[in-house]
Amino acid sequence: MNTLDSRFLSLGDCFGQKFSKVGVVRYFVTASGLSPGADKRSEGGYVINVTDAPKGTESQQHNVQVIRGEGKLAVTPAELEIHVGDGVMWYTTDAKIAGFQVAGAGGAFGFDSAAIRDSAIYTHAFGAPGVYDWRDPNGSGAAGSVEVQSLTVKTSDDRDKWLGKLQQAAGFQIRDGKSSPASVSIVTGQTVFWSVAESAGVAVTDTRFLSPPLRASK
Amino acid sequence: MPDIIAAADQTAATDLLHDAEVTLGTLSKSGGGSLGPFVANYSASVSFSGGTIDLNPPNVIQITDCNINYSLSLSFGLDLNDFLPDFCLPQVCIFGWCTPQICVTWPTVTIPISFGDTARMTGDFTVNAVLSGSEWLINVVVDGIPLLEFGAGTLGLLAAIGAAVTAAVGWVPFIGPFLAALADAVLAVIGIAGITGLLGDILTPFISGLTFTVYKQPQLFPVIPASGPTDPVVDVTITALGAVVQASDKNELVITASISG
Repeated sequence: MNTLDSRFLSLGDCFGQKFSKVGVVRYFVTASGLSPGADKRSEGGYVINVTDAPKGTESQQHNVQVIRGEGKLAVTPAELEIHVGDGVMWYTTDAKIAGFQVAGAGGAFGFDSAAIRDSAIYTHAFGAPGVYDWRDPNGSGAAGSVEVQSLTVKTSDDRDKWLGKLQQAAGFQIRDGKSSPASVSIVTGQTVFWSVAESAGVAVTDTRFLSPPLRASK
Repeated sequence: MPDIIAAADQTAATDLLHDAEVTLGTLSKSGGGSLGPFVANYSASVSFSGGTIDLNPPNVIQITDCNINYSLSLSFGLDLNDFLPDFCLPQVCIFGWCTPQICVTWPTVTIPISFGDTARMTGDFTVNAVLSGSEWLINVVVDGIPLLEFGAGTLGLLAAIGAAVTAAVGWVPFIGPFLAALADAVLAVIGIAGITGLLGDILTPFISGLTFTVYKQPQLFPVIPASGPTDPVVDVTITALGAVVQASDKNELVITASISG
C-alpha cells in the first residue's frame, strides 16, 4: 500500500536521522513498534558507531535498505560507521513489506520514526492523485495538505516530462509543532519531504486514518 | 402399424421448442479458457429462448436464431510487468537530504469481470424418441456444432475487460500515469479474436449435445379411471414411440405410438 503515514514506512517512504553525538547507537527495525523501547535495550538490533569527523570532512548521507530477513525485518548494510553530523536514511524497495518503524538510542540520544524529534526527515512518494490532508497524530498541531494531480503518459515525450517533474522537490518544514507551507501541489509519483526540527515527537499521517482531533473547550 | 399418430406443423413444433427451452431452464458450467495470451477462469450460466423451427425431411429440424442468454463471471491474472515500463522513483534532494532511487516492481493482479449478453444460434437438429426410465421422451438433439453469432456482445465484453482492468489496478501505486496505455495494451493483445475464441470455448460445451425435450409421456398411463372396487383403473402401456419429420402437403413432425393394454 502507498499510505501517507510515517509510523508505518513502506515502499516509496524514507526516514532519515542526523547523528550529532559521538557514541554507539543501537537501533531496531520492527513492523509495529518496540516494547520495551530502544533506550531500554542493550542487545540485539543493529549498531551505528558514530565517531568524530576528521577536520574538513563534509557530512555524508548513508542509505540503509530494509529487507525481509528470516521471519523478521532486516537491514543492509547491517553495520554502519559514521561521523558526527552524518545522516542515515532508511527505505525499502520491497512492496511486500507492509510497514516498518525504526527506533534507536545510545547515550543521551534517541530517535523514532513514529515520533520524530530533531534533525530528521520523512519522505513519501505519492502513488495516486487526490488531496491528502495530513496532521500529526501525536498532537503537536502540525498539519498541512498535499494536492496530487493526475496526469496521463501516452508518449515518450510525456514520460520524459513526467520523470522531470518527479525530480522536483517539494516539502514541509516542521518546527516546534508548526509546519510550513500550508500546502504543496505535486503530480502523481512525486516525493514530498517533511523536515522535522526541535519537536516533541511528531508523525505525519493522512487524516483519513485518524479520528477527528480533540478540540479544547472554551 | 402404430396405434396412435399425432402430427405437429412448423408453428406447433416451434411452440413445443419454446416450452422445451423453458423446461430446460438455466445451465451452469465452470472451467478455463484462453483469452488471447491469458488463461481465464470462468463460471457461466446459460438459458435458451426464442428461435424458429423449419422441418426439413428426412428428419432434420433446423432451429434458426435461437437466443443463448449467457452471464459470465471470469477472471484472469495480469502481470503488469509484461505491459508497463520499468519505473524507478528518481533521486530527489531538498533540506540537505536525498532520497535513494527506488525501483518499483509491478505486481500481478487478478482482473475480475462480470458480463452478460445474448448470442444467437442457428443449426440442424435431429428428432428421436427414447425410453428413459418409465418415460418416453421426444428429444430434438443438436447435430454437430451450430453457427454462433455473438453480435455486439464481443465489443461489449472487450469494453468490460477494459473497464475491469482500469478498476482492478487502481490501487497499484504510481500506475496512474500509465493507466490509459495499460488498458489499451491489454485490449490490443486480446483483440476481437481473443474474445470470440473465449466465448466460443465457454458456450460450445453448452451447445455440444444440446437436447430439447419437446414431449414427455409416461410409458404406463391410465386411460379409464377406477369406478369402484370391482372396476379398477385401466392402464395402457406405450410399447414403442417414434418421431420423424415427414413431408406431406406440408412438412410435419409426426409422432407415432404403439400400445398394449
